Amino acid sequence: MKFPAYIRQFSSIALLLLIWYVAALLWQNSMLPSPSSVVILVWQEMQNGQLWYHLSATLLRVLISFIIAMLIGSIIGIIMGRSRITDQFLDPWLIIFLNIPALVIIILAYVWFGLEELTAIFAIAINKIPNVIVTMREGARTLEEDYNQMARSFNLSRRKILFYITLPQLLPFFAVAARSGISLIWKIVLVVELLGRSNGVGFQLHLYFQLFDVTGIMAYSFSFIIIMLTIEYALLQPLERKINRWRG
Amino acid sequence: MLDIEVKNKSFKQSESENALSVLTDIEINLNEGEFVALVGPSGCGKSTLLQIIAGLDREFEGTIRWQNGTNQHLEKLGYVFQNPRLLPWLTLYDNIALVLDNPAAKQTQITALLEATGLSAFTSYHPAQLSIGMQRRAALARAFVIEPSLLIMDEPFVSLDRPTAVQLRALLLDILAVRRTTVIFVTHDLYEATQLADRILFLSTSPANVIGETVVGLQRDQRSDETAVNRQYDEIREVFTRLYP
Repeated sequence: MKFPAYIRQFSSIALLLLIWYVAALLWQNSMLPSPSSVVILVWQEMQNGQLWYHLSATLLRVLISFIIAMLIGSIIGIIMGRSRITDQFLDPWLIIFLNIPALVIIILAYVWFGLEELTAIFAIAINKIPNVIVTMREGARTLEEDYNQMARSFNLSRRKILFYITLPQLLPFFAVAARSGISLIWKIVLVVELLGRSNGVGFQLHLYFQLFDVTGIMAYSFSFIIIMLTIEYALLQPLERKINRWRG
Repeated sequence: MLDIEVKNKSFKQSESENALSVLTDIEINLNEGEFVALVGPSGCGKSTLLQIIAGLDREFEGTIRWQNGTNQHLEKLGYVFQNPRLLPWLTLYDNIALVLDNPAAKQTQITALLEATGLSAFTSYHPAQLSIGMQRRAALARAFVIEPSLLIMDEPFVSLDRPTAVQLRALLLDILAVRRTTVIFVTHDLYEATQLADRILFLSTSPANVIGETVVGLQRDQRSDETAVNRQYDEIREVFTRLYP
């Protein structure tokens, strides 16, 4: 059928809501609250300030650990991509860290460094850093030698080479690492909060889980998902399109 | 103006293998304002020689000496590569401005060169939006904008359709008529060499050395005259067939 893509996407979500609504209507049980009762709870939590309090705590953790992971991961990744010796030396570490389950890192971090905010943030970052390294290493490996020769024959300054030749080639890889980074981090952050923080969406989910309050779990999950989707569609995707504009 | 002496240049394939020699006993003396063409079979090491001259490759036996005694790094080099090597994320204008130390002060030069190369209307385009002929013209403009003391051209018009190649050669002659520049030009197209160069050097197959040299008896203003070029071309082709039996 000839509908714009967004209408089809929207109607698929509407259908999902409808199924949920009907199912909740048929199965009158507190384990499956209706969409309306979830929306009402979200509204109440917005009114009393609880929702913003926990959402902002989580978002702040996402943001800080994201910046740390991108920074450290990019630096190590670029060095590994450019220096074969460093690459050979660090590669086994990278493989180990890529394969340690997130939960193990989080538990060990809490055990060794205490139930602190800093521990939480670093536990999240360390889970993400190996993925950033892999992507940025690939980017640094594929730097075009042709451009480098051009730069040297025209005697371009180091600053120009960095800003006009090296970084533009790394930018698409950075964008990929950033997008997959956000989606990984916002899943891990909830586990970190569940295990050892006293605020945030993960903490709230833990609380509602102990009460077996599915409405509460859904209210906080959906609020958080909506925020992350907004960041994805309103911020990251337009940014990526802007970066890739020259690809004609 | 520039004395090039390459006694030996070799590449090592791997640790165990013997080094493969690509250039031996090459001596070329370039005069100020001269246009020298290097002609030779494909894969004979012409590009390597240009990279040595440009100082991009320093692992060779021999010397590159500028007659004013300066180190070549102080000399301004314009390099036109086989593929244009424009940066795809910069606009045409920014690609050209990039190679200047102070582009703001040289806006008039940039504009003049863009005009000369017929690119004035495309300054804000990205290279991917332009035809390959236009990209090569832009690469030409980029090489000239720094007012090079030596212009190195590595088969800059190869694999273009004939009308575009003819047009670009005419453009190069036009620019050179205004800004006389020392040029070293690699090609495997003898006609192109005849039309453009003052002097043609013939290189052997690998390991390359200079096996012949001929002066092209054409004045600069005769080079757009097809019959004059053709007459010279017939003579030079005889030299060519003797050298490469």
